[in-house]
Amino acid sequence: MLYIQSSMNEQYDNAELDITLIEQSKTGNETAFETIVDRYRRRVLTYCHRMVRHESLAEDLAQEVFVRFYQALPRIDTRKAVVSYLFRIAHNRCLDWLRTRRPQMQTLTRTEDDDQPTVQLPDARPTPEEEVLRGELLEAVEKALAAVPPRYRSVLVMRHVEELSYEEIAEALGLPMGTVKARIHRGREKLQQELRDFVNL
Amino acid sequence: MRVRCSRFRRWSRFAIDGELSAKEREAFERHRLVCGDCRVEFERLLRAVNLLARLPSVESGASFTANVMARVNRARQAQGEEARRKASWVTVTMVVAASACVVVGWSEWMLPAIVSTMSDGLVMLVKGSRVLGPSLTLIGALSALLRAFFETALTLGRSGASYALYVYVLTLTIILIAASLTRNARRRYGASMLCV
Ligand SMILES: [Zn+2]
Repeated sequence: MLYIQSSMNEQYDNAELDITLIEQSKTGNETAFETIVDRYRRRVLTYCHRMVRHESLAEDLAQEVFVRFYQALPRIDTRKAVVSYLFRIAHNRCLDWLRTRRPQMQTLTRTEDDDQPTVQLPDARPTPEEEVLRGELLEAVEKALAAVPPRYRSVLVMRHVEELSYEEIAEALGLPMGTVKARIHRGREKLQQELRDFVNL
Repeated sequence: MRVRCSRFRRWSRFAIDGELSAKEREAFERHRLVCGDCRVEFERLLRAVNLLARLPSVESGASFTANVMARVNRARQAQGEEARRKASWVTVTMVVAASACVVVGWSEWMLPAIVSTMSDGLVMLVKGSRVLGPSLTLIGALSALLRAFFETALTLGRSGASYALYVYVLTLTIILIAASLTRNARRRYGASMLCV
């Protein structure tokens, strides 16, 4: 019996294609690199958006993630998952931003984003739950997530939104598996507290 | 297996991740059925996680990939300029070092050896720093110089050795400065990559 419903379980884990694309990119093949960007941009952007909760800023951060990934290509080990590299860079960038620049941006974030839930993907099949989740509830979850401290939020998004494995998260963060699990566990509790009005039925 | 509330709560995180053994899972489920408090608590946690998992993904603007490539190219241009600056600096160093040799009145037949030693070292510094990293390159360059010094000393005898030592120290200083500059440039530029 599986407790967690999956939402983004698409055919992203085509590891062999990734290896080919990385190897081609390493030799300067820009089209190959563009394909990598196309394959992962939605995931990286979603992660950044969940972290900073600001549309244009998230897009800017996500683009930067790929630029840095490009610059790191010579040192990329194709045996490791691409997502681990991408989310490592994304995690560092978002936490960096939250640490250093959030105070100035806070007003902007509030006015632009709070009344406006994120864009729903056109190809997502709406289930009854998603209909309910739209609007108020969706916004509530976004707000609750934003209230979770960044280092917990990051692993929560990686695990339950991006559906990374524990191994991939541990690799991305350079942390032991036990630490990652404990952090995710702690993050879930914090999220549950933030969502208490919605889960305490 | 009997499970008490405390153990049930400890196990709930493993249950969510599907990490309980079949036997543990069975005991977990049994307690879940009979204990209302634990059931409610576990369901709250589940609901929170499931709400999170149902958050939609965010679609990027149409020009996302094009923008990334534009930024990549901009960064690459900046990198090229950095390399050119580095290269021109090395050229200047070599010219200065060679002039220094002339200034100290080095005998004509020694000059080529010294210059070629220095250029060996510096060429290695430039080329090698890409492949080997600065510290290994530096060691290579220094050992090339050291070898040249001993060869000169052996050929010229004592008076030649003191001259050679002088030029060696001079060149060493220059190479050290060049290396530290190269490394600084690398650090500045490479800082963004350290996160990988
Ligand atoms: Zn109980």
